[in-house]
Amino acid sequence: MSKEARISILLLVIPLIVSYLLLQPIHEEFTAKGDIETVTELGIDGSVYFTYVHSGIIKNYLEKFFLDMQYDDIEYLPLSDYEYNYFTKEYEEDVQHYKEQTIVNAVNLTNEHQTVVENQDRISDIIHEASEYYGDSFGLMIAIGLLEEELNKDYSRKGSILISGTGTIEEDQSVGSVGAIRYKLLTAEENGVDIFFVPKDAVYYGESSNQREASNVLKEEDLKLKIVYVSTLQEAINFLENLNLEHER
Amino acid sequence: MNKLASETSGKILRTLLYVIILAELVALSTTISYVINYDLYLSLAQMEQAINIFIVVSLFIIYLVYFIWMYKVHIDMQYYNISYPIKPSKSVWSFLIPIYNLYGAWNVHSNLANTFRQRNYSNSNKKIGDRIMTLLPLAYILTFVDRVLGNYVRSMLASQEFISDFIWVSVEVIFLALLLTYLGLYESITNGVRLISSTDLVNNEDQTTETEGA
Repeated sequence: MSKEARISILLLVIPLIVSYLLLQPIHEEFTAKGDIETVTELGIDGSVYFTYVHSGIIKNYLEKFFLDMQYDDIEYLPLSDYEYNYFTKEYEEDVQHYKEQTIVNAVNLTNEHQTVVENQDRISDIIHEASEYYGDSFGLMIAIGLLEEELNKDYSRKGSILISGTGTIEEDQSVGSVGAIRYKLLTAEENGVDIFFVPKDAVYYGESSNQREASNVLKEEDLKLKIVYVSTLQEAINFLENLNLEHER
Repeated sequence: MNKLASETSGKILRTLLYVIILAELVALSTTISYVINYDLYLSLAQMEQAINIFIVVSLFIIYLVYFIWMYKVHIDMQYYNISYPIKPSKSVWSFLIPIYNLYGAWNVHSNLANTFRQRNYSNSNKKIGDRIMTLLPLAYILTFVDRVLGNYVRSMLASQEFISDFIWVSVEVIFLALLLTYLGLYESITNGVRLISSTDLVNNEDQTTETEGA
């Protein structure tokens, strides 16, 4: 073999090794800051926002490398084989089901005097508009937005207060726990949110609850936004109504 | 006949270019499968990732070898043409200095082309010069389009927006065309240097014969 051929092969081994190393499997879940979005994006005539984060799973070091380049602040959590299999096989189906369920609950709870058919049409419209979002954590904010629309209210006082939050909405009006509280709070703070709703769930989940996590993040990051813990939709509405009353006085 | 200084690095560069062109053909095929048969593409996705990493890293190595080769080509040009205007080190800096390289790369290639044309011992040299001056603007245009498309794709990916099939295929086709243009430039310059060195040798032999006759 000629000298040139040997050098060429040696040089080509470098990209081969790099490719091999970067494609080594690594199973982790990532979460990074996202953005806030007004409920009008979902076709709802409300003034409140929902907060989303970027999350997903990575399969190899290459994906991790690109994510590190894309996001300044990103968190990785290792996944067990069982969790990884769940994420790659059943997760998408489950998430879609929970997303639809929270939208169904939000519409049914806030449009009680509408017919079943009217509600069904509204549910389909919102599901369609929300197609680019994963998860069910916008349920509470959808419900608040729908109530604003129904009662012709503007809790943001013509946009002077930025109201956002996270939490699912259940059939019985209760607000369910969600994931990625830390990054949702950081996203909300970055976007100038004034009031942020968080599920009041410490009584059920203790230290691993959304409530405790939010409280810790608030202290650690010295956040300026006001966190409001709610266990039902009614609690959130009561808070917003009182806020309006205080303002009117 | 002396071995050209650029011979070894040139052969390495040619091998690397052939391999990266082959890899890019595979990348183009997977992109086409993405457009026409998504299920097939899914089975090839992991391989496409590997190919893309391979191409990116190879490209860095190719640039490195290219600069070494260009340096050596200019050593050859200085050896066979004492008045050749570009020094070997300047030929490399012409590619590396930002902004200036827009002119510098053109200057290096056009000087080579003009020298091949002027040293018209044979019609082949003129043709080689003409070929370089045809490929050079093409390389500039393709590099520009490649950069614009690359930036566009990166910004669309960052904002998680939809990228059309046409753009994906265009990215691969433009890059493949660029690699083929580089190969064309390499072949032309190598042939030009070889012709100059061989004609020089013939001239030297002729001169020796005449001296001996006198």
